[in-house]
Amino acid sequence: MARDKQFHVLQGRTAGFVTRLIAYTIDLAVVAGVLSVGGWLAVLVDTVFEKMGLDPSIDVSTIYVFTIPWIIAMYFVAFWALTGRTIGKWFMGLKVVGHDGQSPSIGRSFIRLIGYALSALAFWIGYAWVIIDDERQGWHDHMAKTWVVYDYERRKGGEIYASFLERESRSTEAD
Amino acid sequence: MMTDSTDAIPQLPEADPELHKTLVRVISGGVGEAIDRLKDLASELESADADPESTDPVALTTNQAAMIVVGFLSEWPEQIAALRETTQSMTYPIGQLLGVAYRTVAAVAEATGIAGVVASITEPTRVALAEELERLANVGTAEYARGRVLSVHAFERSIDGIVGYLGDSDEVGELVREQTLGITGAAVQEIRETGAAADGLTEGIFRKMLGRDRRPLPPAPVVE
Repeated sequence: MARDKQFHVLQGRTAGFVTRLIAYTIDLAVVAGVLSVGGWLAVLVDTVFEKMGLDPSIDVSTIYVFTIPWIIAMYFVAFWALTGRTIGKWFMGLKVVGHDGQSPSIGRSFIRLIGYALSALAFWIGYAWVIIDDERQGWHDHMAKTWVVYDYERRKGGEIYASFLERESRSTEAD
Repeated sequence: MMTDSTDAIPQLPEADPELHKTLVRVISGGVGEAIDRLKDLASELESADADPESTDPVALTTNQAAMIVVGFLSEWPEQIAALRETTQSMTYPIGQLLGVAYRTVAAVAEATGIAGVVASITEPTRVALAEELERLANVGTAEYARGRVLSVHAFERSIDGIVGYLGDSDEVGELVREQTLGITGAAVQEIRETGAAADGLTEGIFRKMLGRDRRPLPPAPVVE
């Protein structure tokens, strides 16, 4: 019985693939929105320059295109290092932590970002690795030595998760 | 914006003294006369040549009629007294008394099959009752209209008070905010927990497909 009580605790456990995928999708949507607004502003500035008869040697839009990777990098690294959460992770109640349970440093956050890129380049296998990894870590987590954990307390009446856990608990004991 | 429209409130009509006189006369005279006639009728019925054991339809009807009338007359004074007592505090006791009197006399007339005999008694009662009912209907209509006007004022005053209270009360504002956040929070929590359940389910399916053992459970965090 005591084990069941512990088992139902969600906060602090490593998060699985589906929750992280939802969080990631939200982050991509947020980044896409920010980039769209930035692109629109860049085009607007270029248009104003053209109307004013100015002819800069390079378009603002071109500069903007080169800054896009940096904007994406800044979004993830800044959020990870400062709070351990991006907007998507905050929405899904997730947090990136290191060994000490604290948010990763800027250095580790950069390594994690590089891991993001590698995971994506390898046909997203690095992300999908979360499904089969014993500690639910993706490649980027292994590289940066980070974990993504649930950072919210399950409701007392959280029926969906509770019923799943009870079913899983029974099948584990049967094994 | 609330306006003071007291002038628009219709006033209740004054009671008609002539009508009241008529009603009193009907009760003391008409019903009294009906009672007297019914008493006479009862005497006639009691003295009628009717065999109590007879199964003849005519004799049976006569016996039943006699029993009904005698029973009615024996209880009538108490009924009148009880009615007067209970209707003292009512708004329109006369109308109610008339209604009871008319229904009683009509019921007796119908049961005894002597409608023709008592028609002269019931008719003035019925007319007086109809007039009284019409008056009551008019009063009721006026009261209804007045009530509607008053209720609009009362409603506006209530709403003004409630809105003012809601606007001024910090506690109410806090409650509204908490309620809003609570609803949003519950929806987000539902998404999170559904995702968490799907995490384990997806993991279980894939690990089974790949022939891997179930993921070992990490030690539970210490919960104070």
